[in-house]
Amino acid sequence: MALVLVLIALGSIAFHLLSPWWWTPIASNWGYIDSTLIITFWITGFVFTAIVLFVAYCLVRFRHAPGRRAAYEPENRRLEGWLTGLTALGVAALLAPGLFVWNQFVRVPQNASEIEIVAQQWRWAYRLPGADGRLGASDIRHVSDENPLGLDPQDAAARDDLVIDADLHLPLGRPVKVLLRSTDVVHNFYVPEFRAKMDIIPGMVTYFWFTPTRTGTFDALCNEVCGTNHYAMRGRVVVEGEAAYSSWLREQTTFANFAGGGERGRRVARREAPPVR
Amino acid sequence: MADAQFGSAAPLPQGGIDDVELYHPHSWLTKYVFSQDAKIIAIQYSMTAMAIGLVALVLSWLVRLQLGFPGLVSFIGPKEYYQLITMHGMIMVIYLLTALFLGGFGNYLIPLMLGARDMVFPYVNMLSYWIYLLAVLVLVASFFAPGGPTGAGWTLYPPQAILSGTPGQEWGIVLMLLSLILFIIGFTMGGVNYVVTVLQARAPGMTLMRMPLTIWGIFTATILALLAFPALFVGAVMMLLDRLLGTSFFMPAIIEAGQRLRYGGGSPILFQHLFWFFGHPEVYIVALPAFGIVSDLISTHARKNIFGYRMMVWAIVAIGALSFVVWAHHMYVSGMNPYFGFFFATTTLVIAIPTAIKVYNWVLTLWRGDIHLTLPMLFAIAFIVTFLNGGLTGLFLGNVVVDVPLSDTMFVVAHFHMVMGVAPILVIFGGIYHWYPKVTGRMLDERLGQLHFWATFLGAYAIFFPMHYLGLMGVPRRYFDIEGLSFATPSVATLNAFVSVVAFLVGAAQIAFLFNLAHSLRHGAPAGGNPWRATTLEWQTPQTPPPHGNWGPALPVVYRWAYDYSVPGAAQDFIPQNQPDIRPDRSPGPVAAPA
Amino acid sequence: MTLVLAYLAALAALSAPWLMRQRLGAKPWLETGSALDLPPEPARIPAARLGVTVLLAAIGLLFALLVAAYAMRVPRDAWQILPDPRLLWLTTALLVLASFALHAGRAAAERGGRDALLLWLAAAGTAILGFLVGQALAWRNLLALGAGPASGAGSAFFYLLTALHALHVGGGLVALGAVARRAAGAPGTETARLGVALCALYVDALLGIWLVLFGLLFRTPWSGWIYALCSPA
Repeated sequence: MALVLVLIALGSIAFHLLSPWWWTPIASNWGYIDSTLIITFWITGFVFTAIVLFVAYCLVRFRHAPGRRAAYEPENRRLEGWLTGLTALGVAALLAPGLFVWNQFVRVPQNASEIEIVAQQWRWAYRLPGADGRLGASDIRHVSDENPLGLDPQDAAARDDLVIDADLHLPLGRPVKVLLRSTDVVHNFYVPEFRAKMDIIPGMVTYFWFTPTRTGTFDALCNEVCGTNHYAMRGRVVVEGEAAYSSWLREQTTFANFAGGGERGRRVARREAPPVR
Repeated sequence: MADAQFGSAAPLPQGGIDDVELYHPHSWLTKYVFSQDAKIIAIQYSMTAMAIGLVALVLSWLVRLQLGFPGLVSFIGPKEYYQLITMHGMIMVIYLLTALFLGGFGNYLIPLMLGARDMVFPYVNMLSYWIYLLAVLVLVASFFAPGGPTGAGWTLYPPQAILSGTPGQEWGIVLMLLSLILFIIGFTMGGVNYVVTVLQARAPGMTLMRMPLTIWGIFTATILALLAFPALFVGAVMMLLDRLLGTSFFMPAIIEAGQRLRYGGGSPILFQHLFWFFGHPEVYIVALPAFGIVSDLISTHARKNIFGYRMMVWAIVAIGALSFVVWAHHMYVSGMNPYFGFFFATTTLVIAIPTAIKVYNWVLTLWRGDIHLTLPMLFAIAFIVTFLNGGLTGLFLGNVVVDVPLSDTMFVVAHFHMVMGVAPILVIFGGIYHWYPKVTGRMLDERLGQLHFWATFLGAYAIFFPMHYLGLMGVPRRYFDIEGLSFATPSVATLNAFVSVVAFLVGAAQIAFLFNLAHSLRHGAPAGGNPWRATTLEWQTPQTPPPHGNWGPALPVVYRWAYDYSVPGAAQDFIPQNQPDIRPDRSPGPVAAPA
Repeated sequence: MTLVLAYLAALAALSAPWLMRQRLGAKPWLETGSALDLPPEPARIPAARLGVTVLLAAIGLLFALLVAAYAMRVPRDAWQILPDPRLLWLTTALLVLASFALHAGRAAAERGGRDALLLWLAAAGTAILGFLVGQALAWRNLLALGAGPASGAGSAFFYLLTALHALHVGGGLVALGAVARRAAGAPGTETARLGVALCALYVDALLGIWLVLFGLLFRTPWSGWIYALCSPA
């Protein structure tokens, strides 16, 4: 048993160091999250190894043998006090960076541009602000085939919003505040490379923010169980340089054109129809 | 209050029910089926829980079949997959773990360890079991209902749980909620019983601080359960009304398949709060009895008193109290007010301190002990390793910002399986190997037990340790198929296949255990009354297995705490709790121990 | 949920003195010997009373959670907008009456009067039955007004809260029946007296819960208090 415990402790470390399964290369500003995770790995890894090895030692050293008798030691306040103190210290060492980073996570920078992600079973749609730089009003009452995101046709700020039905593109190095909306059930927009994510609750708007720091094409997935096709609710985010982004942006359709009944609008609207179940 | 003129109700002797008050079975049916004897009820609870647990095991095999070898079998589609994971999770958490620890171990051990004749309300206790059985049957019925059982995930988050995009929307979810409501009603009956029995039916001399930690664990867990289950009850009733009557407690305005539904204004987050207000204490409802039992196993089989008994008791009470202010750490990325994250991350990490103390004290009990590597001891050590692992990964998830990338990935799956699945189940096994001799009078077979132990422990570790790393990569949980994810390299599929194969083997090893249980009933070596030479009262019964009423003519009197092992100067390395002090000049204390 | 945490804190505060008396700081390994030299336990309360108390603590939490859910779910401007409930004042009075009758019955049991006891129990049973019928009529009235459970959050909570409360009251009625039967068979015994006292305790608690629910759902003189209790949620 002792040998097995040693093997478990060393094997776990070896697995940790050698296994090919590790996080995806980060593509956002949340390197802090990775650092906190690494700190956590160090502290917990140390505790795990130390305790398991100690148990293994005890098993060898204090294994029953004829004539052996256990010591009588109901408690040892000093030892317990020390251990409690050390644990508290370790916990503080975990918590402090965690809360520090969380404080950044909940504070969206002033210069973040807003984008909106709208989830429905089982697909993603996106909305970017139009020329006025802000997202217009929306309500689930307005949702129709022509207006899958439920934008308010009366709101001028909404009429120039860009409605995107394909991959989402984001400019490199600019902070984005992602507003999340769902028309049916709880979803969650998760791009592993960005680290950040948030649930999408129908009936309210949730948010998170990040800054893309690496160009590339990333898989987005729904990360809150949302029905039979939850696993197939994928999307794609393309992070690209300023020039490529601007040219992509020019090709997008505004809500006014989209809902206005242009041929393109109709075509897109038909594709928006939910999949047959 | 006791008035001389009402002679029939003379004051009870301290320590519980008078023999004349004890219920007496008159037929085979009332003795073994509709029995009011806590020991029979315990066995009924345990057998039912293990039977439904076996169903959950098979479900997990099917889940692993799909994950390890996607598309190998045609009868598991996404719909079936979600039904499998939902039912597996719900059965394991509620119908197996909760029922087995409290209904099984609780019923058997509370009266025996405390020196009582029975629970204080035997009739209510019996009802508790039968309602539990009914809850299980309703749950099983959902497998055969049109549309099958619900596939909403064990968390049953609305709106998804009751919409047509989720399997089992027709009957499955309704039966699931009904079953939960029944379970809670049945449990409350049992729970009131356990609490009052612990408070009132202890043998003379059994002060709270002389109780074995098993009882402390079960007692605190029962209080938690009595205060946590109402939240699930409320959530279940409200969701049932949303589903059946069209109320909108949890249902906002929803467009489903292009149609606007009649719902509006409801709050899905409200359900999450209710669910986790139950859900997190639930973790400790399972963990605290396991903590208690493992303390007693380690102490008995290391022939040494549990180290820091007082700290252990305080830690149990502290964990119990704190467990009610951590629930929202399951909801860091749920869209609730993000500033709650500061509070809940702090409380969550603070709870790690008493938990760590418990781990230290188990380990320090081994230190300078006289360790007998019996089967219960092996399971107890395996518990320490797996619980330590799972507890430490809990520090990742409890620390709000680290949880952000990891939540709802396989990391979470690996974490809670390790800490709430593997670890408590290892304790259950250890407990069964430990107390089976008392229940049946026979030992379980050692060789089969060794096989069972090594396969289960090493297998479970091999399943769940690597799984964390999948989550770290970003592999999400509850995915029927991860085909097409760019970061899911072929090596992920290899690892999944490996995990699945190990899972099949671990599952198969349980057959050895079940066979052992059945076989040893007849053919096991006779155990005698106290095969482990343990101090606690259940081993001091005049007869083994203990008959109805447990103690013969007189209740035991308790003279000492539960951990007088290897007391310096004593002839044997254990002194039973009911043994009067034979050496009045003894000056006990930590310093008295010869090194 | 603040309300729920406050409720739990209150429970903890109530049980703290008891826990303090358990000498949790004792070093049990130093205290070998019979219990006789340990300080005597405080007067034991009957197991049944303790059981009912524990049950009531759980029931209380159930309703605290429901009230918290109401506070989280129902928008502030939609509070207490249900139609005027004159009938509910009557049912409230009936429940008060039942509580009064049970207390009188308990006093009768103390004196050992069988007939007086049974009379009071019958009165209490009738009052409780009247309460349940009254609640059902209130349901009918509200349904007739078109305020079905699906019509809005306020009315949905009305049906949910009153139904769960009525179920608990109904359970109490069954228990009362059992107690009355036992009291009729063996009047004046300790068991009979205890049974009546427990019924009184149970009905008192449900009366208290009902007053909270009533004040939550409708405009009553004490609604302001409940409003204040829930407002941080």
